[in-house]
Amino acid sequence: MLFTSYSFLFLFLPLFLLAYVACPIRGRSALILVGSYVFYAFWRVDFCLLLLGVSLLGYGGGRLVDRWSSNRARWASAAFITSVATMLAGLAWFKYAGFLGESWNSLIRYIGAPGWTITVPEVLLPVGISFYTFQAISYVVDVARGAKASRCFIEFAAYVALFPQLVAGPIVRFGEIRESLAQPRISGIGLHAGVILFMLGFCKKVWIANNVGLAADWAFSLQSPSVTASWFGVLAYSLQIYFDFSGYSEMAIGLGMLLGFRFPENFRMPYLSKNIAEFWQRWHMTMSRFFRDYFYIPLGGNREGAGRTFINLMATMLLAGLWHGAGWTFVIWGLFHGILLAIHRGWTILWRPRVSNPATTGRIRDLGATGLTLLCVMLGWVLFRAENLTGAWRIYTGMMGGFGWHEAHLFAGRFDGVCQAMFALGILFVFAEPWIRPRLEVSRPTQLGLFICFVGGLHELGAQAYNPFLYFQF
Amino acid sequence: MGKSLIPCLFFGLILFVAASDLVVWLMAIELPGRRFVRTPVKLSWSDLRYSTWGPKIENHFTGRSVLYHGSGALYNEMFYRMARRTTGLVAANEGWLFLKSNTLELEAEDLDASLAEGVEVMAAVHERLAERGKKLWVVLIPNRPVIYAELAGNPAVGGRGRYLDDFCAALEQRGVRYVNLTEPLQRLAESGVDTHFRADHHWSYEGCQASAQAVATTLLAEPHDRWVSAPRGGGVSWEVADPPVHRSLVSFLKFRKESELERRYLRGQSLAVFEDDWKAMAPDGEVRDILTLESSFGMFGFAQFLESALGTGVDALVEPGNGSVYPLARYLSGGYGGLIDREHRWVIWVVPQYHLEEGLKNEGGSRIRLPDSRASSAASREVAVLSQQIRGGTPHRRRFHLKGRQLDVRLEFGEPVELVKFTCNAGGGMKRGILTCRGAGEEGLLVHVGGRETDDYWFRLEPPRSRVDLSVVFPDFGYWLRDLTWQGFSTRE
Repeated sequence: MLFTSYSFLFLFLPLFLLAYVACPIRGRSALILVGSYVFYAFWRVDFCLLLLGVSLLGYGGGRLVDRWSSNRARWASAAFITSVATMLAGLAWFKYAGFLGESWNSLIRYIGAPGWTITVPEVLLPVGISFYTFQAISYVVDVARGAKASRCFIEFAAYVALFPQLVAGPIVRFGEIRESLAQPRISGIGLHAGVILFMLGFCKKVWIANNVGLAADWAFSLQSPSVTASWFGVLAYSLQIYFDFSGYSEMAIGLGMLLGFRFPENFRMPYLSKNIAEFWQRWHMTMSRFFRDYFYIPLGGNREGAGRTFINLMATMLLAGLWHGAGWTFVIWGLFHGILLAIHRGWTILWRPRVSNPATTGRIRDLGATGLTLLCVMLGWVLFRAENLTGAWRIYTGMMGGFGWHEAHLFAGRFDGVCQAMFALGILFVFAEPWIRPRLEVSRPTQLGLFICFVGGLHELGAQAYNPFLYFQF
Repeated sequence: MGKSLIPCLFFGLILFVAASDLVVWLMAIELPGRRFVRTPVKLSWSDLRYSTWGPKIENHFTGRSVLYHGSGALYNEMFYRMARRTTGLVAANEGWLFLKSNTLELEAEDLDASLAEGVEVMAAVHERLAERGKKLWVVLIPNRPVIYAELAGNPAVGGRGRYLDDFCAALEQRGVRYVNLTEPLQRLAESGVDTHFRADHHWSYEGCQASAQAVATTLLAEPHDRWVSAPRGGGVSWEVADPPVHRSLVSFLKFRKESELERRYLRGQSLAVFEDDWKAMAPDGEVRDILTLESSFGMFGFAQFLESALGTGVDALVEPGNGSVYPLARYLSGGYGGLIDREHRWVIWVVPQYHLEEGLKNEGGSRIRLPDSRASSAASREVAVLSQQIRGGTPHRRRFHLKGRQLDVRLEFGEPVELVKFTCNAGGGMKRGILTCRGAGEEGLLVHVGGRETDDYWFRLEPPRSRVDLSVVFPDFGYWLRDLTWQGFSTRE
């Protein structure tokens, strides 16, 4: 069930909220648990068992680590390793078994030993598995680092399955919502802010992401994209992924606020970053935080010399790439960002102090830095969006003019006024976001304007499905 | 009000819509809307097992929601008035609406590929029918934007404007007979008559009549034996649609009794009224000289008009809603009671351009294969089935009711088989399904739906294999398969 579906907005959400308001505060975490499992079961009932399994592993691991950490360190370590390794094994099986099997077979075919090929398992990827597994892992690691373990399984299971952020994050730490889970309280301020955020995210997704996505889909489906089509497609996809993902995150954070939770921010105007390190501090912030705290820093971070820092950065970004998807495009995307981060770090350490001069800093330089960062990010999105390396190479070739310069007749009439307007609005919003956001919090006309956009978005959704003229029956 | 205004508006809206939906559901109010089909949602325990309860509820809810109907209709109406745009459509002057997908230019490579594939299929069908002493005629209907290029905002100079010309040239090379309706329809349009409905992609009755006349002229120019069957002699009368025959988009919201879109739509359009409609032209005991295989375009009386123009009897098989490949595939596989063995001398396959441009694909993108009519004669020795597993269906007497949209059958044979025959009668829905067999290529056979007879579906396995996995997929819930049987054959003695 998507947040932008009628069945969520007008069936699940009203029923759940009515029950939530009517429920005593101490019973709300149980209600959240039931509601979240119903929400997840809309997609697959059997994978609720997987969700339950991850919850049990996280909860059991946390309890055992907490109990044994003071007097039986080895047992605590064993419990920690067993719990985390089992969760990671589950994630690896569901997410990477097919990829690894196919890669193995490709390698075998390449070296010419057909007898060594294996049957690639057909594994259905459970929705949100990366998010809820990481949440459970972060909990066990935090407990091993000294955080207090949860004593109530219902609370913990509700944390893992919490439906607003179950499917696509943000990745929340148990400690951040522990108190709210014990006593979820609805507040007027939370309702107001939550509704605003939810509507903003909804409009981002329905109006901008869905419309510019048409352009991206078209450009990436071309066999020989021209320069204009390639750049247009990459720009469209850059807008689509930002408005889609940040929109979904804002809906999730907004829903959390409606229920009395305060989730961490996940996007903070990332396309306005002045360097790639800043980009990763603003893009999918909870994932970046997870990899920083649970992988990069334990590896040594930047404390053990330039060479080791480079390796740590590459390893972290490789893992981040693989986390996003099981495919070589994601591996290379991760490495690409690792290299960018390493270059930036090298620049910061070696050259920047020499050239840094307050007189030369200014808007033009900031603009140049932002433009360069955005360009690098956009180049990376090609790998992220392309179906395979061949597709990515096709787009890169197109961007460099390998398939000619323009194809005006292909553009003509393809994208209607709304699509074009949303494209322009998307670009405008990226740059005007620092100005718009504060006004959304306080300005009544801006809020009413957002509500009107939300109602329009509902109608747009309805009209997308309601096309009575198409294929009607005489 | 302070900070409570926006939350009040938000919650008020979602609760109002939810409550309205509940009222509609409890009182079983039939909402207007052409695509609205009132069907009860049937949930069972198997829906939990197969995770079909969520999609079923979502389908049902979306189909019934007040907002779905209300906002969809209102949005289309208001937006059309303000911006001359409706979702997925290009709105032109004089109330003309075009499917956006029909007005877009397509990649030349894709068009070439679909053209080659289409020609190959038609040449193969032509050969198969020639072996049975039948002549195939392919009637090609151009897309509306090709006829009304200026209105559609598409100069039709691209590949799609030339597509049928290129297609016909390729057919000619392969010796396949064809009638390209582009020119007759363009001529009719230039005379001021609407060749197509303004808000639908089908041809108008007048366009249909002119097309039938053009086909008859071409057919009569072909040397042929004397017709042996007489026309039915049913009459045709004409009436002008005024007021519009369809309900308003927004009538239930009481904004207006008549929508702007529909005021422009069908008013003044001539409608043919047949004494016997196309359903009565299905072949019965007496077989006519000609058989037409048609998609929904046949609903406007193409066969009747053709019969009048030719002066001989025409049998028609019209399968609305299932595309133009479906009736041909069913005919070739021996469906319709083994009609392929009857004496029709000319078989006319009516194909709209956009069906060809898409390539032979089913809804959902699965590739379609045409039935292998020689497979049955190649089957020499039946191989015993050692084990069989059926997943996704509940047996009930002679039927397997599908729990979701898919039924999987796994068969283990005593030795590798080269041919597999799957037999069933499908029902429970309107739309065709698709049957795939692992090891027999990616393409699937269209599964025929409706009727009482069983149909045979043959697959050739390369290389032969002992374990065979078959999957039947339907586009919706509620389908069943009756008298399900399977056989494996080896061609080696």
